[in-house]
Formats: sequence, structure tokens, C-alpha cells
Amino acid sequence: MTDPTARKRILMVDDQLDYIEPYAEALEDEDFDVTLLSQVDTALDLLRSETFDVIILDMLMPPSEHVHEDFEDLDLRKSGGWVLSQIREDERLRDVPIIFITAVRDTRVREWVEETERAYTGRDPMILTKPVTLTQLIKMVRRVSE
Amino acid sequence: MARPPALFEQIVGDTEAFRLMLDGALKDCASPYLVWLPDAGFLSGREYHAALGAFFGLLFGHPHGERLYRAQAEAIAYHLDESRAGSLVFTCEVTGLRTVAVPVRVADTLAAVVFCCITRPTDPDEQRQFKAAVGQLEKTLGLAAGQLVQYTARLPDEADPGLDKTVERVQRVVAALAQLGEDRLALQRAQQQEHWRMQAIRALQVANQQLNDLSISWDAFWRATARLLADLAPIIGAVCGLVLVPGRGARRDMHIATAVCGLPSEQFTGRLYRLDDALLGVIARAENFHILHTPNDDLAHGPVRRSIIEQVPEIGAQLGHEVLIPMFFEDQRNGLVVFFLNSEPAPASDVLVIDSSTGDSILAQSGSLIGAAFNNRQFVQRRHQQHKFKRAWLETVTHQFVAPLSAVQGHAELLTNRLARWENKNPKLFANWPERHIEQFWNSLTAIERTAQYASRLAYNFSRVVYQDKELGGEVELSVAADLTGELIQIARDFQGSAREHRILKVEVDTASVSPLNGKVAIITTDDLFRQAIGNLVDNAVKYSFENTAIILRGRLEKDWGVIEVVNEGIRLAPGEETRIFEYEYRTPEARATYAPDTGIGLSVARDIIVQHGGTLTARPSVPVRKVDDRQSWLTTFTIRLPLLDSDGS
Repeated sequence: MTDPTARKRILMVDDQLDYIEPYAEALEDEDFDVTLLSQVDTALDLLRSETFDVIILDMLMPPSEHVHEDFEDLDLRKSGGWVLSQIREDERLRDVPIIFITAVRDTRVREWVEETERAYTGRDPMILTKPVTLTQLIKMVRRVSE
Repeated sequence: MARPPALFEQIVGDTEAFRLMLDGALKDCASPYLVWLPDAGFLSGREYHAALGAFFGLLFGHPHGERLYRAQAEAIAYHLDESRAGSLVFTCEVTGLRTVAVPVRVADTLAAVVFCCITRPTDPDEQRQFKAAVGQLEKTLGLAAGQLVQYTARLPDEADPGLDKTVERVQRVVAALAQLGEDRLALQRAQQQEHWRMQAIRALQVANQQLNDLSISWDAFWRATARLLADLAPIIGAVCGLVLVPGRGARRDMHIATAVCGLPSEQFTGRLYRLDDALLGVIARAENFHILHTPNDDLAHGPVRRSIIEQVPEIGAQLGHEVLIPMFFEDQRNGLVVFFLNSEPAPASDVLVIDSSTGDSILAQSGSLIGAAFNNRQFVQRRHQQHKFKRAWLETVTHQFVAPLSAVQGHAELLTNRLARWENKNPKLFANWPERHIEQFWNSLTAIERTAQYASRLAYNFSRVVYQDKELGGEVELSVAADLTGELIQIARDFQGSAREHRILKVEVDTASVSPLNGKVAIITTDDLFRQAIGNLVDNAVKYSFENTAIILRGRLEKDWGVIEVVNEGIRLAPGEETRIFEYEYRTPEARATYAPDTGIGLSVARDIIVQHGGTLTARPSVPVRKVDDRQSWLTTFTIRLPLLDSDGS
């Protein structure tokens, strides 16, 4: 049984850790337990073995070793859409809130994320477009982790 | 039920008018006349000779009698047609009477024969022959002996001097009639050709719309091309047709059949042909199109014809002349439309005759239509491809700019928050710092945060300006703004930092006025474009507001529009400049004097985005508000109008 007083666990995945450090630290300041990872495959392994209350993902990351080379479009291979589908495929992780923080406005990449989230959860994905203020992120994380 | 027009009527026109002309010409003639019409029996003079009327009445009253006479008339007509004679004097084998036959020829077609100068023979031998013939006729018809002869008593004899003049008059009438008929036929032919030309043009017009619809796939494009071939084939009397497009890469030396008509599509579409170099040379040199008459031609057994004969012999047996129409592609490769005309040519009235008067230009148009549509598609496709690469590159560049800027902004915000918290816990944290330095420190932190935010906005605006090719802009997603108020509040919050730095009291959303718009308008969620447009307006307001003023975002419903206004108090927007400020890179002199580093693209981008919403963005010249320290402040309003949604959200 989950301890309601325990700190909420957040997994943040971004290949450029420097860029999300301030967000991670701000969340730590707000008493969240933040784990930072830069590799997709490590993140997926960790998600399968541990429990997180919120996942924060970048939308473009170096592709997983398991991404099939059939994706001709490199951007789609790198897309968070693939990572999202891997997470949602796991029934245990289907309802974990996922927030995307991105500067990517590429319609194809976004559409894939949107279609994937809608297909698995019936909801629109939560996407914050950079520049994102700490206040914005903290507010959203608080809301979805309650 | 109306009788179908007889051949004579088709060629000459009004039969009754012809009778009147002959009646007029022969009114003084003692002899009657009869006109043999190949398709409608016999025509007699209105003032039918009393004696001969009764004679022929008896003859034609008997079915066998008319058949006998008709056979004789047809034999004479055949003889006249063969001999090309202007007239023929003969003794009728059926009646034994002497007759002159004058042919009516219209455009080399025997349309009728006028039998005139019908006389009794005077020569004793011929008289005997006449009597024998009439006697036989009376027997054949089952008439009493002498019953027919009595009617011939009043006929002139062949020595009548007026007969030669009669023949002359008939020949003049026939010549006039032939001229009329030829004129009429020429008109009919012209009308028929015009009809087919119009049919062909209609087919081209329909094809023009379909082939230039750039939203359709290549498959649909070639299907539309096949439909054009199928529409044109019967008009020009073709059995089948193909479009041959030069291949690429390994198939460079081949032509591919991309559209076919009159042939089994699955057997011929995609078939490769190696065309003769001589033929390709002819095509390349052709200015518009070229017809190859295949008999005795080296190309008569070309690969396309051979394949049709082998694959579908029943169609192969019908192949006549080939019509080859070149299609010139922009990359200097020549395609080809091939029609095979029917080996048994259709009458000129049934098809569009392919000649230099109309047929050439119609077929040339079909070739250039397909070629031009093909070229257009390739051009647009290439532009799309280039655009895609440009966009991808721009996305990457923007991402590379914005991601670290966002981190800088985050670090600055984090530092600000933490220092504020630490100072709160430990008020003596900055005890040893001079007040002025503390203020500079906080200002610098805010400046870092605000500058990073501004730079991100600039990067997005830059990418938007470079990428605002509306034709190729791609689809955007419009979503109902269920919580427009919340959206605007979020945007206003983004600017609180920079507003503070400009000593602006607040950026506030007048929620009471905006809330009626919730769920009534749609905003573009793709790329956060709506947020970018409003953000650019607020950013503009922040830069040009005076200290201790407020920036207000308010809304209202106005007929078919949802209106959002951004109002600020600051420098003046003079009359005449309210439209110019939306021009790319335009800045008012006062704006340049107030805030030097701006680029002048924010408002232009904002308006572009709002127009993409189906709305408008306008500004009103400022109105004076008050004077503070001898400085006049002005109220400036930017107005966005977004189309209101119907009650069903559409």
C-alpha cells in the first residue's frame, strides 16, 4: 500500500541533462523525489522495476537500441512517440501521468505522440513547450500527481 | 411517330421544295416527270400528267408493278452513277416508254434520278416494242387488254421539239439543287465537327480540373488521364489509347504505359516498351503532334502495336492508323500519347476528323494538358520535399536555440526562488551587501530570465517568419478553446517577470469579459501558435508601456466574432501607422526611440497566425489618457477577431 505521506517520485528523461537540471532541482525544492536519466533504454528498464508517480520526457531523444531501423524518418525514430508507446504498452504503466517538455514543434513528431497517447489512454498528451517556467512545471506536476 | 429523315432529305433538305422547283421548270412541258429517291420511292410532279398519272397509278397500285419499275429505275441509277453521265435516254423495259434520266449528284453521291420527257415512241419498231411491253405489263398486273395503252394516248411523242429544252431546264434545276445540297452538306459537316470538337473540349476541361487537382495521388492522376483517353477515343474514332512516360534509372531507355483505354488495364498498365529511336527523334522534333500512317510504314509493327495484337488479338485486328501526340516534360524527357484509330474509318459525321482544322489542335491540347499537369505535380512535389527539408532543418535549429535558452531561464528562475527562500529563512543573508548591489543582483537575475525568454520567443518568431509559406504550410489543428480564460491567464503569467522589470503594475486578464468566449472560439494548438500570437502582442505591450501602468487582456462577443483585446498605456501609435506596424520589420519612429533592440517581426507573425485562424488582427490609433511629468501617455488597443463556432462546435 502506498504511503500517502511519502515523497512523490518523478522520473525525468532527457538526453541533455544540463537543460533539465533546473527543473529537476526546482521539483526537488518542492519536495519531490526526482530521478534524472539521459538514456531511453535505462529509463524503460527502471520503469519496469520501480514505481514512479510522474514521468517527464523530452520529445526528441537519441533512439533506443530496440527501435526498429524501418523508421525511415530519423526524427520519428528519435521521437518520444516510440518511448511513449513502450511505456503505455505495459499495463502497469498505462495510467502513470507523462508530461512532455519540448522545444520541438514538428507536427509529425507531435502527432505521433498525440495519436499514441489517445490510442492507449483516450486522453490528449500533456505537452509543455519551451520556454517553460518552473512555476508552470511545478503546478502541472502537483496537479497530476495528486 | 416521326419518320426518320430520308437520305435525300439529309443531303438536299426539303423534298417538297425540290418538287416545286421541278414543277416550275417543267410547267410548260407536255411530259410528266418522276423522281426516283433511293430511300423513299418515287416523287411525281404536283401537276401530274392526267394520262401518265392513271398509267403509273395502275402500275404502282400493284405491289409487283412498283417492284418491277423500281428495279428498272435502280438499274438506270446504277448505270448513271458508274458512267458519270449527265443524262441518259432509254426505253423503259417495264413500260416501253421513252424516258430521259437526269442524275442528281450531291458531293459525288447520287441522291436521286429525275425521269422526264416520258414519251410515246414513234418509230414503228419501237412502237411494237412498246405495245409488247404494255401487253406483258397488263398481263403481269392482271389488267384487261388495252387498259394501260389508253392512258398513253395524250403523251407527247419523242419528236416533240420542246423535249430538249425540258432536259436543259431539269439539268439546271438539278445543278442548282446539287449546289444547295453541297452547301448544306458542308454546313452539316461543319456542325458535326463542331459538335465533336465541343465534346472533346468538354472532356479536356473536365480532365484539366482533375489532372491539376494537386491533392490527388499519382494513382488517381493516372486514372484521370485514362478517363481522358477513354473520353477522347470515341470522339476521334480510336479503338484504344495509351500514355507512355519515359522511365527513370535502369528503365531510362524504356517507356512505361501509365494510363490506358480500350485495353485491359491490368495487362497494359505498367508495361515497358522500347521505342524506336527514329520514332523518338520524330517526336522530339515535332512542334505539336504527329500522325503516323502505319500502312507501309517502318513503324507499323512497333512494340505497342505488337503487344496489343499478341495480348488481345480481337482488338489488335481492329487497329488502324496510329496517332502519336508528344508530351514534353520539363526535364527534356518526352512522353507520348498513342491512339490507334479503327482500321475501318468511321463516317466523317460520326467522329472528329483529325486534320489541321480542328483535330490537330484538340489532340495537341490533350498532350500538353497531360504533360503540363505532370510537370506541375512534379514541381509542387519537389517544392514540398524542399519545404519538408527546410522545415526539418529549421525545427532542429530552433530546438537547438530554445532548449539551452530554456535551461538558462530555468536556472535564473531557480536561483531567484532559492535566494528568496534562503533570504526568507535567514534575513541576514545579504546583510553585508550594499542595498544598491542587492538591487543590481536581483535585477540581473530577472534580466537573465527575461532575456532567455525573449530570445526563445525570437527564435520561434524567426522560424515562423522563415516558415510562413502558407501554400505549403501544411495542416494545422484547430481545437475548441474550452478554457480561453485559463489560456490567456497562462500567457499573462509568462510575462509577469518582464513586466516587473519594466515596472509595469500588472498583466491582467479581465476574466469576467473573457469567460463568455470559452467554448465559443477555436484556436490552433499546432505548434502552440495561438499562444505565440497572443504572446507577441503582450510582449509588444510590455516593451512600449509606461511604468506604473497595467496591461489588460479582455474579451467580448460581437455578432459572429469572438473578440480579444490587448490594451496598454504607453507610447503613441499615430494615425496611419495602425496598419504599417503589421508590415514585416516595420517599427514606428517612437518605438525605435523607446526600445532599440526589437526586430519588428512579432506583430507581423501575430497577424499571420490570427489570419490562419480565420480571424483578423487590427490596431486602433492611440487615444490620449493622461499626462505624467509632462509626458503624455496613450491608450493603444490591439483587437483580435476570431470566428464564433456554431452551437455544434463546427
